[in-house]
Formats: sequence, structure tokens, C-alpha cells
Amino acid sequence: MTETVLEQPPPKKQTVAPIDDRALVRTAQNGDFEAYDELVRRYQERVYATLYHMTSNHEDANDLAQEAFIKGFRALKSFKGDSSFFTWIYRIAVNRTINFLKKRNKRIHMSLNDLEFNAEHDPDLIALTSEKNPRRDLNLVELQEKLNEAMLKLSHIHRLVVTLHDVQGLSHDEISKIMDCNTGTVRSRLFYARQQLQAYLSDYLT
Amino acid sequence: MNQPKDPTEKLKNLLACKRYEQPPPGYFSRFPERLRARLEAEEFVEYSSLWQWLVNKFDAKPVVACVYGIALSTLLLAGFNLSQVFDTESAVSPVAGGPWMGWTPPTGLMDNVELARNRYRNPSSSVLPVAFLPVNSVSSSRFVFGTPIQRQPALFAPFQD
Repeated sequence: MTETVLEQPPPKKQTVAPIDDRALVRTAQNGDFEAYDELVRRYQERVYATLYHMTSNHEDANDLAQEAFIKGFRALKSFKGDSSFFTWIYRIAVNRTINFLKKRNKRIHMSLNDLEFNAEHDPDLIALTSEKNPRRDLNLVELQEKLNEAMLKLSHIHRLVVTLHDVQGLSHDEISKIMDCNTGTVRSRLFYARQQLQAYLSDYLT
Repeated sequence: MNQPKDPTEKLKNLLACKRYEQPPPGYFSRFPERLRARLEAEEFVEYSSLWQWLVNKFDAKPVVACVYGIALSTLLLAGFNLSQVFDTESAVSPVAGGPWMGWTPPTGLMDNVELARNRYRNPSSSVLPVAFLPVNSVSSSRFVFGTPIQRQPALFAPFQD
């Protein structure tokens, strides 16, 4: 007589699959704030970062990010899902920020003291700050300040394109959806903005 | 150092380093809570007062605000003009406070009432019934919407049993 040993299957690892944005949006549209909270957690860093690089001010970026998400929550019922939630909320945030910047008349206070310590170990920055150039004694914070000053000299649209592409790393296609224009326009704006920045920072880039 | 020679590449590297600019530690972990608190606070304030509601409505619709302002101004102007007319009338009216504060004359004074009506219709007439002359002069009230001090004119009617 042979004993049959019933081998129990190994317990399945319960992996919680991340809920799709669309499902979260549908739940949030029914008034579930927890679902909207999750959407906020997913995109808060990217939205904040974009607004920060647009305004060069932490408090303004904080206010604008909150306002964008509040407006998003209130307008959520009208969100049809033609684009991704990410693109939609980005568009709200960006439009709000551009309106804000138009109203802000030279009331610019840069708050650049929050630079993360790890930046000092970035090889690109080390190379840029240690290279022989007319400002070889330039330190990291000064370089960032010069860069931000140059960024603020750009028009809102050109600053936005540079921020979304070169800082945030979005593709031309994504930027064209956010800015509601074609990719050719995005490319030309990006080219022009880089030319301007290079001219402003010629002392540090040559 | 593998420093790129192309200025455009250098610029891209420099811009990429802006990613290191971060908000204070713990900012993002508290962001959703702060957002919810602000949302709830704004919803509370939004309907906390009729005035706030009006401001919000008119802030969104400037044309409505203009129409409302013009209508209110017209109403105030009309009210002011009306009060001027009533002031003039009350100055010649035998009754303090204006013609709208009528009084019922006692029986037996109907002739005097007729005389008073004639005077009211024709203020230039110098004929005034003696019985209508007050002991104290009747000052016309300056109140338009408030309650004026009512002074009844002293009447001298023959005593009747």
C-alpha cells in the first residue's frame, strides 16, 4: 500500500497590484476622498516639482500645488477620461501657475536653501563646478542661483518647456498634450529656450 | 573628468541637477492631509455667510455684479428723489410726517377738513382754519425710512355734549 502524500501547494504570495488610475478616478468621482488621496500621493511630487521650477519659490509652489489638486477634485466629475489623469491634473496645475506668474510682478523670492545634500556628489555638478572657467571658484549653490536667475528670465512658456523636458524628463509627446500644442511647437520652444539659457549662462558653460 | 564639451549637453546636465532641489523633509507625507484640511476649510467658508456666497458668485460673473450695482444705485437714487418730494409735501402738510400719515378728523370738523384739503391742493392759499393752527409749530420730519416723531396738531373744537 502506498501512501499518497498530498502536497499542498505553496501559499500564494499576496501581491497587491497597484490600482489603475482610471479605477481610482471612477471611485473618486463617486465622492470617495480616499481614492483621490491616492491619486494625489502618486502625482504630488511631480506636480510640486514642476511648479517649484516654474516659480522658484517653495511657498508659491506649495500653494499652487494645493490649489491645483483642489480644483482637480472639484472638477473631477467633468473629467471624461480622454487623457490620462496625470496629463489632466498637470494641465490644471500648469495653467494655474502661468496665470499666477502673469499676476506676480517681480515679487520673486527664491528659496534655494533646500538643496538636497546628495547633489554635492553628483558627477555632473562636480565636473561643472571644478572645471577651469572664468568663475572656477563658483560653488554649487551659486551655480544653482545663476541657473534659476537665468530660468526666470525666460518667458513662462519657454520656462515650462525646459522644466518639463530637461528637468522633469517628460517626452515631447507628453508635453504637447499638457500644453495643448503639437510636438513641433514643443521642439522649437525647447530649442529657443536652450539658446536663451546658454546665452545667459555663457560664462559658466564655455 | 568626463565633462561634456558641448555647451548644450552641459546645460542639460545642469538642468537635470535641478531635480535635487527638494522641499523640506516630510513635506510630501503631510501634503494629502493638508490638502484635505484646506478643502474642508474652503467648503466651510464657501457657504458660511450670505455675503461670502454673493462675493463668490459675483467674482465669477462680473457682468452680473455690474448689473446688480447699477440696479442698486438706481434704486437708491429713486429713493432719495422720492424722499425729497415727500419732504416738500410734508412741509405744507398739516400733518406731521407727511401726507401718508393721515388722521381722521373728529366729527363736527368737516368744514375745517375741507379747508385743509383746499390748502393742501393749493399751498399758496393763505386761508387756514383757525382750529388747525397748532399750539406748537409742527416741524416736518427728516426721516425717510425710519419712524418719525409724530406730533399731532392741537385742535380747538367746540365742546359738544
